[in-house]
Amino acid sequence: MSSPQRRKGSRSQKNPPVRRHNYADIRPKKKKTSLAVPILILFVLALVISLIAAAAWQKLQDSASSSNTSSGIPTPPPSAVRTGDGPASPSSIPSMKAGYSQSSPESAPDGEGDAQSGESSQSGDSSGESSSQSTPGGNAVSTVTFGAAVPPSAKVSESYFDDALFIGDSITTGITGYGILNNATVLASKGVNPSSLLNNKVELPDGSKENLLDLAKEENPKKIYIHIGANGVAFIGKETFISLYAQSIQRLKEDHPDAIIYVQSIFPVTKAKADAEPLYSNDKIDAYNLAIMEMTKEQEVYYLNVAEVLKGPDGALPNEVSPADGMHFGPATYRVWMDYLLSHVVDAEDYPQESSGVESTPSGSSSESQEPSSSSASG
Amino acid sequence: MKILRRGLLLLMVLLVVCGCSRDAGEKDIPLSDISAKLMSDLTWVDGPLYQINETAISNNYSFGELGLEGCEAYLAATGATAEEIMVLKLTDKKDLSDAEAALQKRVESQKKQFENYVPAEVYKLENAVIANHGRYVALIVCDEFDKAGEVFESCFQ
Repeated sequence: MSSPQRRKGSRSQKNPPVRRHNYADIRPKKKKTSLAVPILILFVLALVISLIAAAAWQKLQDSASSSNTSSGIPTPPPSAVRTGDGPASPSSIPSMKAGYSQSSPESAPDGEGDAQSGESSQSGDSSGESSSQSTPGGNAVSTVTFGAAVPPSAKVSESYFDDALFIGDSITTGITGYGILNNATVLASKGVNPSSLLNNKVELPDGSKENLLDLAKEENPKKIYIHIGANGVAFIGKETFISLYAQSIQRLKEDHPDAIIYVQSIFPVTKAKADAEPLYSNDKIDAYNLAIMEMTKEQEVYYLNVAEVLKGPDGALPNEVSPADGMHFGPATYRVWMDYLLSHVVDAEDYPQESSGVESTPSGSSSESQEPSSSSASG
Repeated sequence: MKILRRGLLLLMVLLVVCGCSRDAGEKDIPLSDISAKLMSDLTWVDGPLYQINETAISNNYSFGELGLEGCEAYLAATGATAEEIMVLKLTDKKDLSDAEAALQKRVESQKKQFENYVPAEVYKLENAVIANHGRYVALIVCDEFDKAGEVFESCFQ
């Protein structure tokens, strides 16, 4: 649809009576001037105006700089100024690689909710034994047990995701859709469930149709984060669900024998969603999560109980976090999720650690605020 | 002869003035003003939209070599709906059809993503508005698609 161009209105002007003057008769004779003179005057005028403006600008900058210095606030170098939300220049907008994209840590979005930063509750299952483990590829890891939720670790910097691959459903698509990360590879599509992940080609954001595990095989990640299940919990029986999920993990292990594989819990839904659609009840999700965690023991992969940091006091995703459908959430909650991942790693000692945690603390209003829950998805 | 000379002089001044502006007669409207107007005058089911950054813009849209003077994009506050605004200003109006094609591609991609997932959102995409005014182009995906084009156009009056 195109809108017509607005035309400038043409004013009708009365033609003034033609008056013919013989200027030669009424004016004193002047020396003939060349056309160059008025043009030169115009240029000089423009130059003078430019110089005045430049001087004023410089003066303004000097005074701003001196006031910052006097108040102890250093003036950041131009490169430190964040322009992420500004208009994108053509050169800064590369075209997206088919099906997935590279993403990098961005500072927390403003105007979003003040979702909880980092975890404040215990990991989902404390019953698991702690012992030294090694990754399938033999990387040294801290004391973590397969089949139990990965406990809190030192928080690593977001460079941890440099060689990470995220596989998932619509919730995972938001990592690229909202620009949460730009250093990780994301393979995700709306509606993916344990069955379609394993067996089907799915629609990708670039319009192509591929199987996500096939696409994953082309990558060489050192860590794989998988998050599916929200779409399957309503209509796939638990045993089938786990069987399909396990087959996908086996495939990932075969294709990526050196990668650390993190299986994330299914995220909770809001109470409103659970009440309206009991097939999505949080009790049911918790039961599926428990089964997933047990499956991770058999598969020897790591379980991340992300659900614990997303739950409110009632064990559900707070309604204000997901007012529209009770399942999807906004960028502030993505930051909470990413913070959780960065502070629950099995090889923290191999990576630079975040010093203060300021970098990824969500900021803004409290529209997405939520209370940490000590309840675990597994329990 | 003198009249002719003065006329020529005036013409030159006009040409200089016109040459200084990229597109004579086009109002220079900040993209943020257009976005703000669209957000305030249209209804958004999922609450106020969220402005995405450059990284996300490059993830969601394929503008290729399109010459852009600037662009702003806003997505639904959560991933629950297909609501969206993209407003861009082209460097040159000759790229208008390419810009519209890029936005249409985004619509088609979203349609495929939503049709098997939240089919109720597809009607918004089927009625997505791609409007232009001079070098400004907008994609608007919302419930009030019949009103969206008018609101966009009103930004230039």
